[in-house]
Amino acid sequence: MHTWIDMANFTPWSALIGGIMIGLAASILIVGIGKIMGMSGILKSSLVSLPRFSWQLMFVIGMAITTWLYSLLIGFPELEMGQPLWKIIVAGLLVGFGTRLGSGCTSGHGICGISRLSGRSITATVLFLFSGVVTATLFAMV
Amino acid sequence: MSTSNKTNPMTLIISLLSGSIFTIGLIVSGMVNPEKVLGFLRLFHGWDPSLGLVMGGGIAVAMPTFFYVKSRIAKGERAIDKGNFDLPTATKITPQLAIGSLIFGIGWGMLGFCPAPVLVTAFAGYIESMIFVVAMLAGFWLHAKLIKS
Repeated sequence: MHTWIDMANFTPWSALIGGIMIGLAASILIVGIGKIMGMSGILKSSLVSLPRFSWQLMFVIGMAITTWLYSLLIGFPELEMGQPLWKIIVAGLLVGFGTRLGSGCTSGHGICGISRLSGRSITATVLFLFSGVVTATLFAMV
Repeated sequence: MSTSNKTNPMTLIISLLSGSIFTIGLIVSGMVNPEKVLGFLRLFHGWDPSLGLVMGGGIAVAMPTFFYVKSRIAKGERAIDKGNFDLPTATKITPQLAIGSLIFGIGWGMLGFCPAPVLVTAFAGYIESMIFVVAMLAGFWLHAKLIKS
């Protein structure tokens, strides 16, 4: 059992604590303003509603300010990037198109949708996890 | 008329707070790191269960909250900002939902980027994330064009 888990990279406590914070953020939004924390929808609406100052725009601004403060005060983690340009563009297009066609992403369906026991969201999550796993596994083989 | 559709200061402050906590959660959980996401999605390469725990932690907190919200709705109560609760009403599992989710998953599995974490890393200055965000917005636009035609 132990050997097929990547124990070197598995970070159970920070994953759990981070996840709890994500759940808290979703809770604040639904109880506070009655809205679902679905990032693809929020991002789209924040831009489409311009120049009106929407709650969605404020959400995205909160993300920006927090990222900058975090980077300043704590230091943003060093990440390995350098992916090929074509891959970034294709993946971005697929994520953009797919999240709109499917009405949500990992936060909207995966966290909020499952939490309210939505059959649509449970289905969506199973499907994007499935195609995610297949895709990631295939790309790792090439 | 939902008051949260107007730019009520309380609505904006709560939204700002939620976005901020969401961001810290994304960073702390490691989900901004595409390698951690791919570590979960890639089979046969040493499985990193972290993403599962992130989702589990999120659902553990959000699920009781949504139950609470449903009871508030049943009593005719409103959100803290006095606006209506805006829960999705669709229940049917449509081809769009299924196909869209599969397509999203493919894009996600290619790089381990999904909308929220990639936005954070774009704000943090990673060029690759910025390009991805632009491509993602183009994907939003393509979809909008498609449904209009």
